[in-house]
Amino acid sequence: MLKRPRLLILSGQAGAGTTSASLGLRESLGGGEGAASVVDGRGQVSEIEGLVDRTIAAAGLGTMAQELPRVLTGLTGIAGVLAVHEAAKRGEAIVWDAGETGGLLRVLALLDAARSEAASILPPLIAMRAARALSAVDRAAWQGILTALGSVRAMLDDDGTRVLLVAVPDDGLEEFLADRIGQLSLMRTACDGILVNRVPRNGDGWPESWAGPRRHRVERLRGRGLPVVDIAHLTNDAPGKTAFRAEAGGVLEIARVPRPLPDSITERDDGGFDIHVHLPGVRPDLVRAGRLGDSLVTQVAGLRRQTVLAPVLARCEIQGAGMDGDWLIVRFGRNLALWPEAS
Amino acid sequence: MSGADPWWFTGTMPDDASSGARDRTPGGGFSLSFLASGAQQLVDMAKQVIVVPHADHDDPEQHGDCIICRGQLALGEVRRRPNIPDVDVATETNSESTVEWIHLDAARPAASGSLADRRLWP
Repeated sequence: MLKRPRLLILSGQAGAGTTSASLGLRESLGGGEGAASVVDGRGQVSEIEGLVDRTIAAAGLGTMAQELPRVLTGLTGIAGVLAVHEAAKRGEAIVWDAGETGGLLRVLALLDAARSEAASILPPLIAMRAARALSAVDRAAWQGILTALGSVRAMLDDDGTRVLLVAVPDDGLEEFLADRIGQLSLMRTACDGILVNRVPRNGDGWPESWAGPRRHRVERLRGRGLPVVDIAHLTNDAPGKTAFRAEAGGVLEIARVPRPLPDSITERDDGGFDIHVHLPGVRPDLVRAGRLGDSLVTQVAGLRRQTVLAPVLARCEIQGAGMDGDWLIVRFGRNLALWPEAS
Repeated sequence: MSGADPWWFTGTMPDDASSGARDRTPGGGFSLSFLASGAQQLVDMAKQVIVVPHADHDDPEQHGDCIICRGQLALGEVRRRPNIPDVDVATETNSESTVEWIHLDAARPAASGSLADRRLWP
């Protein structure tokens, strides 16, 4: 029997109905085990932006750093993370209305960065200066944010978490899904299921010339074996809440897709090295790879992940790369100028 | 949670979850390392959001919405003032910040037993 999801993350195309879906699924997810919470951090961004602003000022950073909060629109995601963390403490199932998928990907990038041990850039003295100058309330808020980031990162790895993409059956549906599924894989998670909203049903009086192609697109997805739940386009239920509620059972049966494995490095017989990047579900033509200083840049459908190279690879030159099944393999050869012991 | 508290602050620290005690003083278990970690996360996020997209910006004048390009232009303007050596800041900086893309080999099919998911492949 499938484990009942404890955290459903809904994200998708702008205007596809993630909020309606979240509200519609709330009741069913709660079931007999208590209520489910629907969280959405979009109303709290200004408070977090203010906190970040004060921290930058307290650290004595310059005017360019002062612009960061306005550039980092991902602050919406931090608010969502905090809300999920709070709801989890109440022991309830959670539906996270994460909005447009670009925002969710930014949150995932932040959570990934939070877990990484990337080299520190900000001198500790600046952080200490900020810590002394900030108010106790702001310090406590920072502590809350860091705790929440850690706990939500752990929740993403839990078997009880599902990530669902919400889309509408318009032209370009498959391209949207290929891009977003690939990008989720790049961010070390996966799309467990797809909710296709506003699918015109037979016999509801929709003009066939409009409805037929939409139904066909959904059937194509299903024919490829993707876990699709289609939501009826109701004539008298514009927000779609009723339609989502009716299909909630199908959503709860969606199984969890295995997540990408961590990157690994192997040494070849010729003394070179290969780095293996697991990208399951990613279409090869969407992948690019490159080097930026001492980092490996992996790009899927325009979204990049920058990984600091291990010291041994930083002293190597890239010889080539390619997709081998669901793995991107980048081949490195020793740069003899940087290996004095080898010359 | 009182009305004066930030909405996200529950007052429950990791070590006092059972008591629900609230201690917001610097000496109440708060460590400077928390803030250092937070600052690091901000920097990491900034790298994702700002630095990485900037890597493709060859001409700063074409990317007025990019904070780094604006900084380069401002710096270039200052350096071009009289008595300051004329340096092509944009070119100089981009030589360090542009991604060297790798030509990828033709994709190979997955070996048997692979987890490859090709459901959305053409």
